[in-house]
Amino acid sequence: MTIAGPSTIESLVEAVAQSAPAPLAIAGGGTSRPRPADAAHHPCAVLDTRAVAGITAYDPAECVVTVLAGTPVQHLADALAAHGQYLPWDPPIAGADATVGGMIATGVSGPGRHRYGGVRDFVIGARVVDGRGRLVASGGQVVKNAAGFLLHHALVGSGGRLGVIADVSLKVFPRPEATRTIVVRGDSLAAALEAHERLRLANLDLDALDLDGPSATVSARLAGAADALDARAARTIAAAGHAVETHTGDAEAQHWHTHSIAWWPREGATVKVPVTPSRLASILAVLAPLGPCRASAGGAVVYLHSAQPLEAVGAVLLAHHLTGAVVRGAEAGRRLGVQPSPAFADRVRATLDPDGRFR
Amino acid sequence: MDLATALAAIYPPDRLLTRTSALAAYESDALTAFRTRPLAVVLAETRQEVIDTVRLCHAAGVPFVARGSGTSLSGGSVPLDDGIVIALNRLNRIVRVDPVDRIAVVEPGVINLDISAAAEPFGLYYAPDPSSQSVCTIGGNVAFNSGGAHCFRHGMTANHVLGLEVALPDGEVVRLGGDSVEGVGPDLTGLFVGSEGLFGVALEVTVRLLPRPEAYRTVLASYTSLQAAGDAVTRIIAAGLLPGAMEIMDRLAMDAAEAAVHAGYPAGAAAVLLVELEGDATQTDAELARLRAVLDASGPSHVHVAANAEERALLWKGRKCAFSAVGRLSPDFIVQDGVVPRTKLGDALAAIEELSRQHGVRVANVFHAGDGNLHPLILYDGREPGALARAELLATDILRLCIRLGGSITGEHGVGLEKRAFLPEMYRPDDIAFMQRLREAVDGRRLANRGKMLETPA
Repeated sequence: MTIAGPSTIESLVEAVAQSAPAPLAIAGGGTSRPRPADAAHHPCAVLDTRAVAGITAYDPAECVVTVLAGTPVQHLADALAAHGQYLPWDPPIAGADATVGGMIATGVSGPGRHRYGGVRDFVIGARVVDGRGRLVASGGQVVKNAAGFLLHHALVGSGGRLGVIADVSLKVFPRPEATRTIVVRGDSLAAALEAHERLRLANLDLDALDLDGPSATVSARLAGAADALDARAARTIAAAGHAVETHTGDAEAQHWHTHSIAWWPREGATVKVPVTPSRLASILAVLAPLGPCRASAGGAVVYLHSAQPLEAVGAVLLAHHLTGAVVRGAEAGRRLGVQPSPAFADRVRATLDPDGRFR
Repeated sequence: MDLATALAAIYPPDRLLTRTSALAAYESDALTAFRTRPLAVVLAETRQEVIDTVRLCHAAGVPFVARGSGTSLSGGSVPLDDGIVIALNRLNRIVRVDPVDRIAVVEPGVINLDISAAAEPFGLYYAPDPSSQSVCTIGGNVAFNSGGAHCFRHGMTANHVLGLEVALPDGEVVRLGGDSVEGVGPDLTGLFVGSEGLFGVALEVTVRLLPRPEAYRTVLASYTSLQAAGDAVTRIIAAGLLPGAMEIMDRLAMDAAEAAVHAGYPAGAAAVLLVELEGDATQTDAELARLRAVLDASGPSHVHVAANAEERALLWKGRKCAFSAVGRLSPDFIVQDGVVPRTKLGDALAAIEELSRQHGVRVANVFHAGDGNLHPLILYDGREPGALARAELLATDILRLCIRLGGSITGEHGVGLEKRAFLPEMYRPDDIAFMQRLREAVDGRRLANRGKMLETPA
C-alpha cells in the first residue's frame, strides 16, 4: 500500500502518525535503495517523500540553506550554483532522482570530501518525524551552535532507521573560482598507490584525491584562485612523479563524471568501507577479488562494487577487521563486517522508533 | 558496602578527596557564580578506575560529573552536593600520534594545545582552538562541542572527533566511530559530542589532525563603527573568500588587550577586524589581493597586513587574551556566547549597544565574526548591590535577542547550568521532550551530569 504522498511537513507528520504502529518503508528518489517495484503489494506501507520538496530558506550571504527532504539534490545544487555556491562534499549520487533526505540518510560524500569534510560536517540542523509521528528538531540555521543534543549528526548515515527526515539545514561554501585536475595513470596498482601517497602527503591543499583501482588511475583536483593554479599544478605534477594528464573545463568535468561511483551498475551492491590511508594498499588487495574498488578522500574510504553475495563480502571485511555498509543496492543500509557496539545505538533508536517501524 | 567504602577500595587516600579544604577547588568552574561542594572528588588515573567509579555510582544511585580543567563558562562541570566529581586531569596520556593516517588517540584529560604540540614535529595540528586551549582538556571539548576561531571553515569539535570510547552512565563501555574520517551507520560519535556529559564519560578520543597550512596571511582592518566591521565580514564572504578566521573586537576589548599585551591595535578605532587566510602559499597570495580589494572598499580607517610570523602571533595573542584582559577593566564579568546569523551581526551589535545603554551596564564585544558567534563581556562589580542582577538581566536580553534573530543561545560554551532555562525558548516543547526521552533512554537514573542542559522534570 502507498500512503498518499505528503507534500508538506504537516502532512508528512500526519501520514506517519496515522499509519502507526505499522512498519513503514521510506522511499525517496530510489537511487540508493530501489523504490518498491509494486508499492500496492509491498508488505508494508510505502511513504513517498518526494513531494515534500523545496528550498525553504536560502540567503547566499549567510552560506546556509534549509531544504525539504524530498528536494532533488540536483535542484539544490543548481539553486546554489546560481549564487556561486556549492555543496563542498560533492554528493556523488546526485542523478536526476536523488533526494536531499536520501543524501543525508545514505551519508555518502564524493571526491570533494577530501578538502573540507563530508556531508556529516555540513549538516547544521534538521527536523525528523519519529516513529510515533512527532516532529523533532535539532541544531538550527547557524553554523556554530552548541545548544541541545546534536541529533542531526546521527541522521547522517542513519539509512532512514531513526525516522523520516523532514528537512535539513546545510552550511554551504562559495564555489572555487577555478579547478584543475591532474591525472596519473599508473602502470600498475602499486605504482598508482605510490603516486597517491606522494600526492596525499605533499601538503598541496588538494580539493580531491581519488584512486580508481581497476584502471590504476589517480585523480588529484586543485581548486582556488585562477591565477594561482599554474604554480600549484606544477608542484602537484612534480609531486606525482609520473607522466600525467592535466584536465580543465569540460574535459575535467567529464573525467570526474565518468569516474563517479554513480555509474556503477544498479545490479549488485555498492559497499562503503571506511579505511585509513596506511592500510589502503592491503585493503585494496583484499577487496579487489570481490569487484572494482575506488578509494576516495585521500584513502579514507573505499567504495566497492560487488556482484558477490553480501555474506561473502561481509566475511572478507570481518576477516580483516573492517566495517562497511551497502550504500546502493537492494539491501542498502545493511551493515557488513565488524558490527558496531549496540548499547548506545539501540537506546537512540528505541527513543526515536519505539515500535520498530523503520527497517 | 556504602559508596565511600567502595571508593576507598579503588583509590588511595591521596586520590580520594573528602575533606572540605580539598574539595574547595572543585566547587565551581570558570563560571564562578555557581558553587556547590560535592560529597567527594576522585582523581582517576586509569580508564578502569573511571569505569569502576561510574558503575559504583550507578549501583548506589549517586550522581557524578566528569571534570577536566574546569574551564567551562556555562557551569557545565559544577558538582552536586549529593554527587561526586570524577577528575580526569591525570588521565592525560597521548596514546598515539599517527602522522601517516593523521590522527591522534588521546585520553580525556589531555590538554587541547598538547595535541597540537605532539603533532607539530609531523607538520600537523589539531584545529579546534577554544580561547582556553592552553588549559582546557579534550574531554571537556568533546562534552561541550567546543569551537574556537576557525569554525566557519573548519567546523567544531564534532567535526574533528572520529572515534570515541565511552563509559555510558551505567558503566557499559562502547566504542563509537573509528580511525577514519568516514564512517558508516548513524554518526553516533557526532551525537555524543556536545551531550554535556549526559551520555556518559569519554575514556578515549580519536581526533583527526590537519596538515599545518603552508602559509597564513593575517590582516587587521580598523573601522569607525562596529557595524562597518560587521558589514565587511559579509562582503568578504560575498566575494567568495573563505578565510580560516574572522574576529572582531570593539574599543573596550581592544583597550584591555592592548594594556595586557601591546598587540599593536590602532588607537582611536571603534572596532578592529582580524582576518586570516590560510593554505597553499600561492593561493593565499592570490586571495590576499582579493581580500585587500574587498577591505579597501569597506570603508576602513586603516588596513595592515602582518609582515611576519611574530606580528601575526602578536595580533592573535591580543585576541586570545581579550577575555582575561577585560578582567583588568572590571572586577567581574559575564561572558555571553550567543550566535546570530552572520548577516545579522550589524543588527545584533546595534541592539546590544542599545541594551547596554538601557541597563546602564558596560559591555565589551569580542567575537567570532565568521560564524556569527558573539561574546559580549558584561562588566559589573559584584561588591556593588544589585550589580550582578542588572548584569544578568542584560545577559538574558541578549540571549533572547539571539533567539529572535534566528540564532542560538550558545555557540561553543554549551547550555550547562547557566542557560538551562533558555533551551525551551530556543526549541519547541516537542524538541525538549525528545531530548528528555533520549536522556532517559541513555541514563534512566539521571546520574550523569544531572542538572545540566535539561531541567530535571518534576
